[in-house]
Amino acid sequence: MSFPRAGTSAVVHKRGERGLNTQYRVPAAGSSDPVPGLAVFPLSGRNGVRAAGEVVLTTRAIWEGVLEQAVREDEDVYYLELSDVTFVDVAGAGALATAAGQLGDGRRFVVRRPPPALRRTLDLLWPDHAGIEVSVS
Amino acid sequence: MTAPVAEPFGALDPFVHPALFYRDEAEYLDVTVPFVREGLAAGEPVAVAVPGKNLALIRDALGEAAESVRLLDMREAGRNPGRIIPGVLRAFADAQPPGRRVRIIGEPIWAGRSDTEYPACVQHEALINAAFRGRTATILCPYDVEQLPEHVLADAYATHPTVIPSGSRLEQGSDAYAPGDVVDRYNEALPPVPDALTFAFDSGSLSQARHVAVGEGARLGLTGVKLDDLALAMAELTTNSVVHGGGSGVLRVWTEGGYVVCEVRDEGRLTDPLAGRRPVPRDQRGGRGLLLVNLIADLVRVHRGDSGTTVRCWFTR
Repeated sequence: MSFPRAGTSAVVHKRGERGLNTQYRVPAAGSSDPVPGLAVFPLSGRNGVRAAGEVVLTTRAIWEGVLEQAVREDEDVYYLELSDVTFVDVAGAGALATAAGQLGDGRRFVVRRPPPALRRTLDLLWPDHAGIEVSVS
Repeated sequence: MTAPVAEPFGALDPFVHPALFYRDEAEYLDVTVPFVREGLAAGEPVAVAVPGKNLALIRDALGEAAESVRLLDMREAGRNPGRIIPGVLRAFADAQPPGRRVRIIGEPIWAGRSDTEYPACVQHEALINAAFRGRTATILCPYDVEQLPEHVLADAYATHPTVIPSGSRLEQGSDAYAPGDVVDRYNEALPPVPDALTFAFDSGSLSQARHVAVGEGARLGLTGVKLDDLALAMAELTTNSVVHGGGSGVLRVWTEGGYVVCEVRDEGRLTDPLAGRRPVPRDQRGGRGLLLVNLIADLVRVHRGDSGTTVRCWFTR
């Protein structure tokens, strides 16, 4: 399966610059707005990554790559710092649930400050959150 | 493209799906309460999902036995008819140990369902047969013959293989049973909307499409979880258009009474009548987009046309 390349470059947004409830512009015809991307940075001193942007069709490959890498590691906890992720679609939540199911005994993802969409989707479709600890602090 | 389901409306056995016609509280309780008690006596799991007023009647009549029954207010749990199969009926039935018959009373159609809701309600009743055929379950569907219009009662004969007439306790076969015809007959074109924000999208503008819809939803009065839900629904429907629906589509957002309504139209053909109504096995990747839309929206209507598919979702303001 191949994915569109557009949008896979790192586009990092400052915190507070965008959000579901605040951004609203009807784009002008021919608008050349960049397609929102997903940037991923290793965490210092912890096993995991900080992500910024959106998890949608055009960035799914990056997100799945992060999760596959996490499954291969052997630390007990893998941190996903998502405070700068503004949206995760159902397929992105599903990829997280699938990856969590592939973690061995006693291992888990700690998902820090996820966007509301991810918490909502996990609650409705994977209510047991197996292998996923959501932290809002 | 999702493959069509082979003969979704084939033989139902051992599934049992009677409509119960009742005229008053006495007739209602005369059938529903023994139905529950017999199930409990046989050690069968029992759920009752009916409008709150009727739920209270059954609960009071059962007394302590009500504690052994899963009780749900259908006005909440089944507000969107498309949510009832995955979120109520199969959610309960699939959680039970195999081998035992599961008994459910499900009353999805009550006086006060709007003309906009009704096609989704009657299609839901028809699709129960496809979703449960071959399963060891009984779903009893009460219909208030005093309050509901004649055409609704006529449809109940088409969506249920058997009917318990008013004042009776015995099932009779329905000669009019034709659930596939009901699904097709109520596949109605959705009325056009004159004043809606309209945005044409393709793979390059998927995120923009979602932001535009959410912005308009906020402007029209959606807040909090409802606005998040609109974002999720729009993301799923527009992504479906790009991946399965010909690569592009048109999104619209407007208000209708107390609702913000959003719609995605594309050139795809949705051939599976149970799309978005099946529980998805835990280990299956993908295929949950329409299911989530059904779980979060207050109403979902779908029109499958020869030249494309329209999905319209209502969110309470």
